[in-house]
Amino acid sequence: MTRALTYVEIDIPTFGAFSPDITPGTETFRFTKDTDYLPNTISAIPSIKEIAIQPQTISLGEDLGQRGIVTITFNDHLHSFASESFTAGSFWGKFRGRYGQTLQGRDLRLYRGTLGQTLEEMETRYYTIDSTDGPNTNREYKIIAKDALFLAKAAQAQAPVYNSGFVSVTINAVTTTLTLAPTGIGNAEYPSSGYVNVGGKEIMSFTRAGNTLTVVRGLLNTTAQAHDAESRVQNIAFWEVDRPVDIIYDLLVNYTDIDASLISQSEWQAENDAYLNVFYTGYVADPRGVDVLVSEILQQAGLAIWWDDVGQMIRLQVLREIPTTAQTFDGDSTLQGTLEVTEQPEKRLSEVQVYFAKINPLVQDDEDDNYRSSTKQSDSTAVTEYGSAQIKKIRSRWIPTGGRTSAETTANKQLGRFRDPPRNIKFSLPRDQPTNPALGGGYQLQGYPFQTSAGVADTVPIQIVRLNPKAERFDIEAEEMLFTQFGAVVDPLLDTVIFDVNANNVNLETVHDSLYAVAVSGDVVRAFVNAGVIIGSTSTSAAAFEVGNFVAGVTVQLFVNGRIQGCGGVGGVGGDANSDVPSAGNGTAGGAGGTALYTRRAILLTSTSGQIWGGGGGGGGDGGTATAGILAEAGDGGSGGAGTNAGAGGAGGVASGTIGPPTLLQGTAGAGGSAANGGHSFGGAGGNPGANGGAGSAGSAGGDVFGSGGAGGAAGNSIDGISFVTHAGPAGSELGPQVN
Amino acid sequence: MIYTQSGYSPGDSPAGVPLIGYETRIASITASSAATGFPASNLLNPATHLYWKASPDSPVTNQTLTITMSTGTVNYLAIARHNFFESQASIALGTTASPPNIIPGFMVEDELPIIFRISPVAGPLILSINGGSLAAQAAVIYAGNILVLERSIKVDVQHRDINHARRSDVLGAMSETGNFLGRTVIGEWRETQAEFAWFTPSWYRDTFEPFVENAVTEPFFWAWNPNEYPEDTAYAWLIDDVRPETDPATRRMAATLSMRAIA
Repeated sequence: MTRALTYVEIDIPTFGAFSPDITPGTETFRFTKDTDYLPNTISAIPSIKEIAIQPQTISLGEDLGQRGIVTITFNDHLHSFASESFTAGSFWGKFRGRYGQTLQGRDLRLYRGTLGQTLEEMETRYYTIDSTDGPNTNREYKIIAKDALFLAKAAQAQAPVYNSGFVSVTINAVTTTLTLAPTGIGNAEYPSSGYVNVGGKEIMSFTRAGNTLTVVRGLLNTTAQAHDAESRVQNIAFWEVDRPVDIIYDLLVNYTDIDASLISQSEWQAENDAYLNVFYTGYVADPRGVDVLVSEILQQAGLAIWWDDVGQMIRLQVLREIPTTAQTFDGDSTLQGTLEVTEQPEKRLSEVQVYFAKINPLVQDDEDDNYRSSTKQSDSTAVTEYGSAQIKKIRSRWIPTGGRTSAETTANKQLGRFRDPPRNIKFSLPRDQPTNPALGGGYQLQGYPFQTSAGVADTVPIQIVRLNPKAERFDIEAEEMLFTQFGAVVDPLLDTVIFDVNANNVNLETVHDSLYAVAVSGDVVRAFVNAGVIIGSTSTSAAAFEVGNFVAGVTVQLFVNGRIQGCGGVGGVGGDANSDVPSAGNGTAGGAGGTALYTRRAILLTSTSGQIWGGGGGGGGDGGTATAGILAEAGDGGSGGAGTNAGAGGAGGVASGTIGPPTLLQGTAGAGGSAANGGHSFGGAGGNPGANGGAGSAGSAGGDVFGSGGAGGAAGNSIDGISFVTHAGPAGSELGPQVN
Repeated sequence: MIYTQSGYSPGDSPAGVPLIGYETRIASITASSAATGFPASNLLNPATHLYWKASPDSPVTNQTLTITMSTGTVNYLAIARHNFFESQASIALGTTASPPNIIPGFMVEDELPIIFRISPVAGPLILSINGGSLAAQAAVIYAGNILVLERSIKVDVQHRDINHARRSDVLGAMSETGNFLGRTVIGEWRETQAEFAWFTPSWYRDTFEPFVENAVTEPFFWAWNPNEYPEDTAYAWLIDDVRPETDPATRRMAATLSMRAIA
């Protein structure tokens, strides 16, 4: 027969060693629950009266859950700590006198084992002391300990840390120097660089020397403006292109009292990279509870986090299906009369909306207008089956612009988990089985309540969310882990970048690296330019869309369903004219249009329903015409070439002359971006997309002198690097030269 | 286990009469070595969680405890908890350590409390612990004059001797399908009642009452039938008040000791 043993150890500073000059050692007290068969080999004070465990509860994909609390009640008794009389006072009375309320934050270990085991062989659960109480007149003393994650509670931890600095004197909207007050606050509270929230109205980046900040004004979609003296200056906590798990790690380690040794960051990263593969960016402009921020990420990334009180580590898992090969508990192993199944219809979802790409970090998180993009996943069949819609809205400060894939993953995961409401399941298992159940573990479960429509015994996947380790058994609460696949299965080697809003001068590699880890050989980068979206360029010297320099071995797939369009070439300038000389200038040539797509590494291009257009060449300038003493007619400017950002029209020539007086006709400026006439019958027309600009006309042959018209600008390339491109399917509309 | 000095015949314990060791005249105890936090002075108090432990750095052999009395002679020495059986150590008792002149070295037979019955001696007594695989440790030593009860436990009622009066909390487990999944003991202790009758009033008042008064707060060594079962020893404490009843006709007194014990 198994004889159970229970021990509790607490580590506290050695009594009497408190001094500014002395770092106290650690003293360990060990207690046990009294029983006749206590082994001599494990010394302990047999004063434990009761151990009450309120197990932690994992909240899968929602938040930090409920914290685990263990309350240990001790009997008081006579004791001699040192040389004082054994009969003077009592153990806990003297203990309180020695250590007061200084136990908070100290380690507590709970051992459960059986006679014959050494302490090291027993199951050990680790907690942190939160408070003590007693001794009271019932001769009892209590120690209340919690799992390490309680240190992330809002009252104890915020990010960013509150700053007490303020603007020393009123500043205007353009100054780039800001002085903090009071004296010394800069070094005391602010980093050497970063972002600050000034007065709750403007975000600035800064570098700091002492109390002086050199700032860049009006960032992150805020407007530079004047700030009164004493406007608060709050450092902003920010994460740019980080794994969700790395953000959580940073929040827990750097903004709470949780020791870094309690987290294996490399394990978290491996979990992230294998099953999640998204990166987040976020700016938190005012102090927020760490638990709130962590919970946001847990929900949006579909994560679960818990305190492993046996492994003494904080565990993190990307929620996923339980493999059918997982350990199965069945009627042979579950304790009789303990299996309870509860339906949870309130957890059902039929649609999940995700708002992302937050615009202004200073605006409240719950304002939809402050999110640039949104997506949703819904299941109309579920609405029909269950008779009503259940919609969940998620606003994400963490999913950045371009993160549509991440947002869709969030929606898909949420809907997949809760499309059918999971059941809550409680049961108990005996101790001392070949494998003890683990909190957070995934298992399969069989039992009478689980049957198919044909009455065949069914197996349900479960994840343990609550585990009470009693001396003789484990009381377990689990969540049914249902997954309906919405969207593609997350492929850790596939990085998807979606362009769903207009943008200029995109470098795919740069955008990719803002969303994912740097691609390595074997990765697949898949970029989509959505229908209706235009990727343009603001300069003819820069392609609208550059692929970038991904390392060898990375496969790049580009799907163009919208348009990639180079910048239009500028129109040529009209020739001047002077009637005194007389003289007439030539019109200048129109500028060449810009390139749409540029690559110097192999890509697979699908453009069947898309457009890849070089910029139109600018029209040539018109030549001037002059007749001595009578006429000076300056040439007209050419029109700019077509483009999302059209080329500027060429300026008209200048007509001059004083003898006569002559008739002076100033040249007319060409229109920008017009593919038709340049605004004057003689200016060259700007080129259409991917087409050359028209040549400017020569001046009138009826004059004494006349200038020649400028040549039309060359068409911009639709693709520069065509030899690196392999078309998948028929090419779409690709206008303009294709060169290398 | 009761170990009696060779040749010593107290002649004061008729068959079936229990022994109680509650008196202790020990003034001090010193040890040849002590581990940090486990001084020999721990042996002076009645708490079994405070014990003496030989220094792990000392040789396991030749540990000695020197027990000095405050006054008079003693005829018993008792040890409540020890690891002498577990470590297979040899122990001996004497007024000299080498050779021990009261009880020569021997191996204890169990881990129960030890009661030495010895010819009255003023001491100091030297308890030697030799050999053994573990650092010697012990808790609670009494030495004084043992109380021999006037009568045996009542013969007209069944008695549960405390060494076998096991009480336990046992939790069984059966699976949903009816499999036996084992039983776990989560607590165990010894508990009994010893009922007495026909104590003479003078003996009760002069001899038994001092014990009863002492036992309100202090534990005691107990051997319920030392002649027949010298192995049945216990370190016990009362769990209910002793409230004697006097027979109106004979004036003889009856009392019940309700106790729990390390046994």
